[in-house]
Amino acid sequence: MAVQRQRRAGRTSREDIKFLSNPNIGNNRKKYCRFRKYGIKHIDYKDPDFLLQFINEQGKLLPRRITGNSLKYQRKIATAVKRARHLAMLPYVADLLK
Amino acid sequence: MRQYETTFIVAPALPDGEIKKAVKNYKDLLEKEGCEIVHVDEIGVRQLAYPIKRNNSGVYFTIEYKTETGEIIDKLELTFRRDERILRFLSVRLEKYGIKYNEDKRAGIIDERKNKLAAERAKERAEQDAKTKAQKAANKKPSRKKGKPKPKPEAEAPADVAKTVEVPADVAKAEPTVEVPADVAKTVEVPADVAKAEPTVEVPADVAKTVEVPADVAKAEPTVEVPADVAKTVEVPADVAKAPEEATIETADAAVDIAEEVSLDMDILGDLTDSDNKG
Repeated sequence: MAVQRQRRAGRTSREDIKFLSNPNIGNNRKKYCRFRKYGIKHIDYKDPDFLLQFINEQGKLLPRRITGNSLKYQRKIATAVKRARHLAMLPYVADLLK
Repeated sequence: MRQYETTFIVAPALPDGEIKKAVKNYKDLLEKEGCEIVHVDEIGVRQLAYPIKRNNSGVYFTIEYKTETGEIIDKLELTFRRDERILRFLSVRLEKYGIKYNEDKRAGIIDERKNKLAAERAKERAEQDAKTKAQKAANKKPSRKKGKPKPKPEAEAPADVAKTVEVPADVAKAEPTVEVPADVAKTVEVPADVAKAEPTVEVPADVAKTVEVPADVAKAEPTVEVPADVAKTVEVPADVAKAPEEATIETADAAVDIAEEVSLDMDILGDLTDSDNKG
């Protein structure tokens, strides 16, 4: 028993205890604006599948801090999503959209 | 000349001829007002994201046109509002990128490019993942060594692994207390020196069969957990099966302890498989 206890104590102090939380937290991948990187100049509001990448499960726009878009294209995304909503291509409110 | 684009939704319940007629109606109106029609895109029936006027689907159309002044748009939209067949409409001015985009789309370039981009991004992601994984593995090895001071040889079978593989209970119990018998070592193809050193090595269930554990990994990782299915393949010597009483009790304790740490164990197993493969 004593041995086991010792082992357990040793284990919790080990590095792999971090797997109790998200293991990808440490190595954050650098975000980038895909529109700038790939030279996309126009965002089509009639393409809901594409716009789906920029909204969350409830149909809300994702912030720039998550998508990594530059301000210019984030604004364009926002207008495109709003237009798509008006045309019933995207929902205004949703649950379990993805 | 400015280029505009009007998208509208026609109610789907109408007879087919009437939908066509409605579209032609608006096209004629635009032409009459002196617009140059660039393209009429018939997107077709689509599911609406939310019901409009009790319709769950609609027929989408897009008309692209050029006009000198924007006055026509007011007139067009007024007729849209008066028309009961129209569920929604949206007029947008296209800037140069929009015009180019629509041209490309008609030529099929957009779809092509989209596919290419998707492939590229997937590849990039895979590369980065591989890189981070390698880095992780490199970081892991030394830390593990110092992390586990092992005074006593001791083998353990994680409780839930044993459960999933459905091993006969007595074998599972007997197993952990026993120092791994020689023939087991053979089947798992653990190099001889490891077997000798034999503190305790964890061999995860799925790895055990396929992977030959390389010597250095085994050294770095002094605990061997003999997985249940391995145990099955091996005929456990009779005396092993009849494990001494005190030993079994200890195992039971161990099992409880392990059960508490099951999630941890699973992670460790995962790591092990990685490092083994790299070996």
